[in-house]
Amino acid sequence: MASNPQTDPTLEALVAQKYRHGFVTDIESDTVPPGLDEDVITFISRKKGEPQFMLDWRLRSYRHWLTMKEPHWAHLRIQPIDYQSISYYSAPKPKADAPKSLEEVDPKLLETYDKLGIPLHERARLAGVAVDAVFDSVSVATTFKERLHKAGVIFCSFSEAVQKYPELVEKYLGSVVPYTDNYFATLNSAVFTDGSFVFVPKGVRCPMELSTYFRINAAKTGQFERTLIVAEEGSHVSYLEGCTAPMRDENQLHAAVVELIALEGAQIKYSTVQNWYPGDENGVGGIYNFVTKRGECRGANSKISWTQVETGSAITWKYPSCILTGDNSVGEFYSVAVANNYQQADTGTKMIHIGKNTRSTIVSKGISAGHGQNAYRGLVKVLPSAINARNFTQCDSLLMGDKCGAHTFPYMEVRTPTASVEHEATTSKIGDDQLFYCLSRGISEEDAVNMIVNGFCKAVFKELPMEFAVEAQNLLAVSLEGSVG
Amino acid sequence: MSAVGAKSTASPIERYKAAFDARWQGNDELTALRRAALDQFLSTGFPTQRDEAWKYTNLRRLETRSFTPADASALDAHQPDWLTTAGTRIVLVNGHWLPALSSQTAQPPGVTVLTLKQWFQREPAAVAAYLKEHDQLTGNALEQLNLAFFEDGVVVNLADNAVLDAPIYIVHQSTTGAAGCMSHPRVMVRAGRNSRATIIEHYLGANEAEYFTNAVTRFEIAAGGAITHYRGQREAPRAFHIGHIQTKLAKDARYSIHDIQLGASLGRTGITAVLEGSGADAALFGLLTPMGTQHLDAHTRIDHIAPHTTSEEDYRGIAGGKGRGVFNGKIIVRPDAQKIDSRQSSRNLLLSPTAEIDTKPELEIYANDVKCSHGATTGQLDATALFYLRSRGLSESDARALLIRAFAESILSTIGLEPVRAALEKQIDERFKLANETKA
Repeated sequence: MASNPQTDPTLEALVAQKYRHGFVTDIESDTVPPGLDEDVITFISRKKGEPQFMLDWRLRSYRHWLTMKEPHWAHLRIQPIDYQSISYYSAPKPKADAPKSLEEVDPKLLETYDKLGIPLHERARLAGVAVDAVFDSVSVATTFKERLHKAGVIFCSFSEAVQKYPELVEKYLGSVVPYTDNYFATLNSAVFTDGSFVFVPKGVRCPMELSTYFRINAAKTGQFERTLIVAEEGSHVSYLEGCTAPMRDENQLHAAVVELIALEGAQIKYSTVQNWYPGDENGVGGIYNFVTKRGECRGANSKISWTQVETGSAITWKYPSCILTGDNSVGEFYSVAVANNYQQADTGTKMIHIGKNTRSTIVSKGISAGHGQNAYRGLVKVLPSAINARNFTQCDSLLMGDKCGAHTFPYMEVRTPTASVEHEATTSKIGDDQLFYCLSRGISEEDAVNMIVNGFCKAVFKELPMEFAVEAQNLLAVSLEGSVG
Repeated sequence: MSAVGAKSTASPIERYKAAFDARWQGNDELTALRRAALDQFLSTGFPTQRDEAWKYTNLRRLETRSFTPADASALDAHQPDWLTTAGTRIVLVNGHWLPALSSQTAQPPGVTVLTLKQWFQREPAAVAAYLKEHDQLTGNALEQLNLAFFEDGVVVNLADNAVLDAPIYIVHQSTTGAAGCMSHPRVMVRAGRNSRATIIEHYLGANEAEYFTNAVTRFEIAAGGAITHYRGQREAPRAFHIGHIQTKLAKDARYSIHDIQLGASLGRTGITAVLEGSGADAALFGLLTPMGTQHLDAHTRIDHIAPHTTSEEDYRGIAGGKGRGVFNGKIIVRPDAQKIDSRQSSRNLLLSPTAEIDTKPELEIYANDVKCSHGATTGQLDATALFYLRSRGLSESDARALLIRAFAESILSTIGLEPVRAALEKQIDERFKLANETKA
């Protein structure tokens, strides 16, 4: 094993050598056998026809990953993950050659979307949303390309971006989440198969909400997505990410990485509705959602806003963060996290204030029901350079049922006297008086609880794009079904 | 082994082992207990910053020093900065009891105040049993170090229904003779049913001496008992001070601590309150004032085990110069501990661009019928308030001092004992007046 990944000649020699020896796996195959080694990584890279720099980067990540230990600091109980039992690449079964329009997409896939309640074409037309649907690691449908193209916005799958815009990818990939960042991000850097790439050029206001539906389909396939969004000076983009997954008994690892870069005056809004399979009511199965999301407000007056509604996954472990480098830049984090049955969530954010007059807002609403464990973990760090920095954090927990848990672990590190950092948190249950009031007005208990929960989450829902907000409210009602009492 | 105390290249572990072997021999039960504690300390060593409980406090500087157990040393007279002359006074100098300056009056009815050595002479088995029960299994390395090395301490027994009007004042004075030495004092208070008392612990040091105080204080409060605990830490500027306070509260017991940290180069108090009986109430008030290059840390943990328990916590930090203040407060509500009411607040003031405050108020809740809230703020003096005072003719430094005092006052005002409060208020004023003048 190469001990020093920095020396390029050694690396290249090694890469060439490995490839020659062979993992001569049939390039037509859809899935590689479970397991992870340099051959698999080389296979993924070759299969996707990536330039050399990508392969080098992947291998560097992999070698670094081998030196790392799985982290265990989170307030989570995790079944051991066998990384060698995961298949790191799979493409959808019906292999169409990159369909050009919706009509070319396999109707079976569209049917699945329909079952999941995502009327793709209808939604696309009605809401004016371009959907880049990632179905098990490879993009199968992309819409509204022309309109975006006219505006100069690049919105494509990551693999396409690597082919068409390698210089942009090389410039920005890993610049916010370096490949050495953390165990899961490093693993992702080595093996990611696809994802989304968005580039909004200078001064452009993206004409529509961009949206990608991620899904996990084939059994035993870990999904390693990579999303990179770059907003140039003065541009504006809103990105929606929604997730669903079919029933499955086996824990599946999802280790995605999302990087956002906002240059001077740019604004990025990133919204997530995450509804992956949470396991059944006994806590069997479910997705492990270990995601690294980070944005950097690199230029002055830029803004990054994260909104997330996390109702799914057996374990959610993510901290969408903002590095506020540019002066006057703004970071926002709005979150609703639900942990029902045996779900566990350890989620929150990091706001790193570096530039002058930087501001951040954190609003986190945690709902625990059944045996669910919900933790907010957040860091607000104000460096000495961040004069007049301002942070406000509010994190509230709602407990439903006497077996669940709600935890708060806020870290505040302040190193400049002109900063103002505020944190407040409350934990409570649904008030008996509130329930009684609703019941006495003829509202059923279920409806009353829904109403109260929606009211509790309102501050976050109002940050979501309209059609997402409706979906999120429904999702919440479904997630908490039967937990009243 | 004779090299103990000299600057040696031996690892800290070896140095402590050598110091132990030089000080404690024998085969009695207590020594065996000490040795077991030492072994546990040696196996874990000093906590590091990778340890979540020590994330913001680095003990490397303490670890590199060699400290030897302090010898008994004399002190001539009553010190001017002792807080009160009323009540029962016990003076420990460098960790050793000094009878000459301790109060000689007869003890009030219902109270037994002994030094740990006296108790040991009377009931050695009871002491060993007590220590075994309370200390053997704490995971904290520094508490184990205290158990291994403690020389003396204070044992207070309050009979059922004993009500003390005057406070028990425990002075831990370090002298210039303490330089290079460590002391591991212990205070153990057992309060009977419906008893009531005020305990003052005061840690004081002599200028220029570099020493290490590693104190352990334990309270056991029986049903209906109430203890008010004032803890002033004003060690010498180069001293290391680590304090561990653990309180167990039975049904309807009450405990309040007022933790005022002024001195030491590196100071930390760890407070654990365990609410074991319903109706128990704990109140934690603290003030940290790191200035210069001081590092002051408060690490608290309130454990609601029984239902219907309440707690309140208010900590304030004022950091100037290159000072660093750390607050970590954890509130735990155990499964089935319903009807909990708990409030926690951490407010901090930064006076200089090189000061730092790290605060981490945590909630860990496993029951649903609870009301828990916490809040934390960090900021600077209110510019509007400053302007108002200036417009009324106050000088910049007076105006600042007044606002700082007002900020600190919400903690100081919780001190019910007039002489103690007045003395601490005066100390706070002097401290920040001085800071403002050097700044201007």
